[in-house]
Amino acid sequence: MSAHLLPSDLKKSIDHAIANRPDGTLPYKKNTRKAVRQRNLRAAEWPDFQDIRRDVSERRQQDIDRLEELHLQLRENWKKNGIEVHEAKDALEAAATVEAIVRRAGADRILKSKSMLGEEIGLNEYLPQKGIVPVETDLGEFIVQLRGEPPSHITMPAMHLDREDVGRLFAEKLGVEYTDNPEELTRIARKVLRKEFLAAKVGLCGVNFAVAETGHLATVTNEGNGRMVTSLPRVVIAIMGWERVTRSLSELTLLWQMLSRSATGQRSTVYLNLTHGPTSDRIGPEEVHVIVVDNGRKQLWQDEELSSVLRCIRCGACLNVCPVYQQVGGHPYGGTYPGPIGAVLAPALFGLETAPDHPFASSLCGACEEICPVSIPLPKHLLTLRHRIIAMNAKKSDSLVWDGFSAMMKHEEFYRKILKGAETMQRILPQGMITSPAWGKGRATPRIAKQSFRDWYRENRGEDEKK
Amino acid sequence: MPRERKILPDSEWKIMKTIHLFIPCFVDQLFPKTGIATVRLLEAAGYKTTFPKAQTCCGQPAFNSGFWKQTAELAERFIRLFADAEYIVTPSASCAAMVRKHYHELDLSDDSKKLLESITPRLFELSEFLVQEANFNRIESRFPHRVAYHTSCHGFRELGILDQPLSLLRNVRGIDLVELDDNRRCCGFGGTFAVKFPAVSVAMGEDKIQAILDSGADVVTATDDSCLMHIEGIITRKKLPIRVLHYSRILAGEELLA
Repeated sequence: MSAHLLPSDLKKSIDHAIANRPDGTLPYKKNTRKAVRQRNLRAAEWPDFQDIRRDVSERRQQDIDRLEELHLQLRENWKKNGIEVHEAKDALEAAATVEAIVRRAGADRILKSKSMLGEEIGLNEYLPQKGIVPVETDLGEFIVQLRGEPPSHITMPAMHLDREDVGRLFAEKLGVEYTDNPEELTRIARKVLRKEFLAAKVGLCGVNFAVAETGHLATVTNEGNGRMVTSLPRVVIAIMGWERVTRSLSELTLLWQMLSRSATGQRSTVYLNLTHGPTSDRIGPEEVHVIVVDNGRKQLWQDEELSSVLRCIRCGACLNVCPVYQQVGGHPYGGTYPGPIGAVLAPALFGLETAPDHPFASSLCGACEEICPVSIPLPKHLLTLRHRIIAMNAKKSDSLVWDGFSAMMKHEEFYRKILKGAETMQRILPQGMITSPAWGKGRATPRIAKQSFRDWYRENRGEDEKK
Repeated sequence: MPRERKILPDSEWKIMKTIHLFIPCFVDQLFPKTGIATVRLLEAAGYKTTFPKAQTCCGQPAFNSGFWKQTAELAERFIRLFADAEYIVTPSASCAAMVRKHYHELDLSDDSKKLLESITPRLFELSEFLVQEANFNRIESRFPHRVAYHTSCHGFRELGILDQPLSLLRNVRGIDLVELDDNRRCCGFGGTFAVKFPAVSVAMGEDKIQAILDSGADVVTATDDSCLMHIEGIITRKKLPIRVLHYSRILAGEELLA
């Protein structure tokens, strides 16, 4: 189960978001579109970008197909490197494992670098209940944690805010003088966090990829916090989704470049942090733990129709390019993963019943698939999930509507008469009575033509004698 | 009703191949002029047309809503109706994509599956057909307007349609074709999405309309009357001076009434 609740009524949640949008430029609209433009620039730098993309997609799928085998190799290398391995079958088990390690280290605080899996297993809700304080060190995560809200994006946690929002937040929560200068804001956060870094006993990071041939744990970041979290504390915990394995270091460099270009439009991120294992020379951690989290992944791996979604490298490009996400940002989706990838991941990982509306919150425009660096057919998955959700538990009223629709469309005469009737109604009734409430708000209802095409054709080109 | 006046010159009728018109339900009922323009263009290109009158809906709305059993019933029916067609041409990219790209995902009878395979290569969106099959570019219409071309998602991303309608439109005399900012962004229609999530659907449409206004166009066109219906709905509500017209109607010489 996901830590942040999925809304029981997604339509209401999205409607509410639209109705309550502030005037002026919306940060999420501006930031997503900027990210897409930047990504497109970087993609255009490689004349053979589409070939590379196809190649990376195929190779990522090969890694996914070989996950069991790659995991065996990983375990061997982790053992060799002195990494302690823990398995967690669900969110609760994963969070409890973190708790146990923190307790054993005699700590009551844990320093975190950004991890979407950390969000998925609800660490920031679970640990405080057990008397452990999680401290976010990624600037965006630090900001949303101060606000007491989840991240609104996979790679840009605070992208729903502008710098004025952050300035006001820091003034209120940190007691500093208001400024909206990004550099100064960063300096303020840095000053707060520096003390935490130096005092930290336990650090926690996510894992973008674990490298099977060497056992390295790779994290891709743009701030120095990831490096500090994995090198300053005595005990380091890395949490990783079961599918985040790649075969080799050379494969990793390829994925890193695709991830950087797709996520932020950088040629490469500022850091690629590789954790190999504990060290005895006091410049690294003495203990390194990795927690491999299933939480629905192994069952999804067996699902032939949907398993390609495990290729996802969490770049967030599909969020940025999604015209729905651009309008509302991430929060109305609830849960951990918003946008198109979230609309597939939520029902596929946690069960159809947890997100029955999410796969429908898309115009199926296909921009997500087009931009995906690993070519996940997201619209196809959305359609598959729609079909499964309806097959499992269609609302009676919806079934009736579509049974009726099909019945009408199977009989041309019936279809013709019903629409003729509707045309007459439209003509004689006042406008207000013929406007469908779902269509009519903000949009005029289209009028049925007095003479349909088929009638024109019969009159002007004659009847088809056969049909 | 008087017989229609031929706007395009008579062709020499050399080829005399017959095209089965696939005029989707909503075009038939809401946008008959698009169907009429389709007939005129195909005739000008030297083809005969026939309209299998039992046709109704290809099933796309039911499919996108997750009701695949009901969709399959309509797909079987469609396949039977068009099984013996030499060419099938439709002025709706989205409906063409439904048949070509999604019918095979349905639970169809073995016979229908076999027929579908033979139909698929013979089914075209109108501009695809005119450019790729008919080599037709003898557009003789005049349309002295600034026209914004909206790239319909299904046409572009599922069928790769973009150059065909644009190259045809470029042959229209007096036309000033302009590109929209971020022209591949969805207009927000999305079929049943438009009624399931109307607020965000309209918000997306408003962004599209802003891009049209910014382009200075007084007409917006596309391969799909469905996108245009949604865009027009918002334009009408906002009382904006933008006209909405399927590209076939521009090609066939329809004139805008003042």
